Amino acid sequence: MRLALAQIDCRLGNIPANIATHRAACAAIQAQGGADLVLFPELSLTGYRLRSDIYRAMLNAADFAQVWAMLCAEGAVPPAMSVALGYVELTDRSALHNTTALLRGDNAQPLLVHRKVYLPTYGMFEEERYMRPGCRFRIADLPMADGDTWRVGILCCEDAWHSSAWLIMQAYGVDLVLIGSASPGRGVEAERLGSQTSWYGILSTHAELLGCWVAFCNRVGFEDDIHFWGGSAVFAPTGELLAEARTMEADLLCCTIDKSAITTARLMTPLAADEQWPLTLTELKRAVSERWEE
Amino acid sequence: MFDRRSLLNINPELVHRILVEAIRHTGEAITGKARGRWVLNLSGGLDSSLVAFLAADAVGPENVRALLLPYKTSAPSSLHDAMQVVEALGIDYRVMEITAAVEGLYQAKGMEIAEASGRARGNVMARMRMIFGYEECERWGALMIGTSNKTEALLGYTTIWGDNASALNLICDLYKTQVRQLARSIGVPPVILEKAPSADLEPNQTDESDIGFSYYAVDTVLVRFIDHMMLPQQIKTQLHEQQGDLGIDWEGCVDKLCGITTRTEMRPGLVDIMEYKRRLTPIVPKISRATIELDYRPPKQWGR
Repeated sequence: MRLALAQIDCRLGNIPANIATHRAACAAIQAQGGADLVLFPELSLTGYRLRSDIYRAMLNAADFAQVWAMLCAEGAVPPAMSVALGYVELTDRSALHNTTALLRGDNAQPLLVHRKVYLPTYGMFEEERYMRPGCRFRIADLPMADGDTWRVGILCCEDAWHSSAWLIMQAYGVDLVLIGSASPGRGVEAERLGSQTSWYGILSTHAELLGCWVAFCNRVGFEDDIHFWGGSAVFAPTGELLAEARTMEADLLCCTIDKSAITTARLMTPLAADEQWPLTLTELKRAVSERWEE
Repeated sequence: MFDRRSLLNINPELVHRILVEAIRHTGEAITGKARGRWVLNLSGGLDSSLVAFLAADAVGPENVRALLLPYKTSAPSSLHDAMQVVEALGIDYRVMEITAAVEGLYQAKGMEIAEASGRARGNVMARMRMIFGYEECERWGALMIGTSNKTEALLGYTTIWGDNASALNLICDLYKTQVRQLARSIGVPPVILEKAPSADLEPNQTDESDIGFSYYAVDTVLVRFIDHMMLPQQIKTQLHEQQGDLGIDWEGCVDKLCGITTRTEMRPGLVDIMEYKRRLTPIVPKISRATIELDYRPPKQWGR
């Protein structure tokens, strides 16, 4: 499939401006030959550090449908193109979530809605101060024009720092993991930002262990004191870095990925096929009940 | 071999890039212009010199104005050093003595200036410089860029509403040691890199004699206490092992800066005591459903 990572800047609480940025990114992708799937960063429609003003940027189902319609207006999103984007969701139980939705240009019904499970609330992060954790990881099957079907899973930023989330993705047998991120830049001792070094290690290792494609789209820009470092990237089922975007600047990364690379990787190193699921589940249950439950 | 400085090392190019972007972004977020104007108070010291270099790089020298604001007792070399920076960068500048303004204040209060303590007078000078800076910003359509560093902010070596007043306190997340690394890399003149840091609020004053420890000692302790969340006892043990041969009183330095917090003893350190100088929104007793800073905590740059 043709995959595009839209490494954009986002304006805090400014949904109209952010819709325009999404539309411009889609237009740029069309100009570069189009894509089957576009990945935007975490909370791309709202910006990240909303703090106590989060309620001014939240979207319930009807609001979001309207926003999606505005984004797609005048053919900005081709019918067969899928888009993964982020926003603050207000559910019908009045809970706020850090949500990523995957939709196709020809359909207002999302293919997949992922509510971020792991909300970092330590140090500079305070997501769980304002939002509630999701309770599932989800996958969707995307049919391509060439007849291939891609099984796609979504993780959001901190989710990807939990190996358990990757294990779940592996259990579902995903071909491609999409990760939208708003990662602040830190760690200035070495050639690269510490954040980038840590992230790329995680992504490469898990791409290789799962034998799947991994797409990481991190935003750029500043919000008050913090800055986001970009560095969006695509990792192959061997763990190799296939494509890398610029750091600290808006960018657009387009590449073609194919399922045969997955098959090859898994034939050479059949980790998922060798995985002993019943053992894993039994051990997890045992360890958790011994160590984690009261 | 253990690198004594490794916890304080920075990649200057990376930091340079982030800070230049921060200047441009903040200018745009507040004024709508990425190449906005900035005013800074240029003392001729290391911190303000570095900020001048970064600001000129970010928005071009034509958008930076330095105010050189000596008091009658300021070291003449400070002015000379500041001029070197101004000339190296080609930025606009104004030299204005603050003496009359400071003396005028005491006159208006019906006091003899000699009645005020050195510290009180120093604070008046620092706040007066803030007023000069903000007046310039208002008139020239600029924002104030601050020159405080992380070491002095942690030690409280600042004047409330004085030198820490700015729209963007650019290098306040860099320790003095790191400021020096970046300044060296960016080309701050050697004479400024080499001189002893001084607030220059009183004749012959140096920071390190005031603090009682070198910046190297202080930063070595602080980076462990603040950035690596080490407990005082852990810091003492580690520094004894790794740096015991430098003749620095690590015990004394850690006790002074970090204090003692155990089950049996509570003695706040200098860093703890000085939080009141960093948290500059005054304490506000809570009455309502949504108190500013406690419940109502919006981002500064809504919509931007």
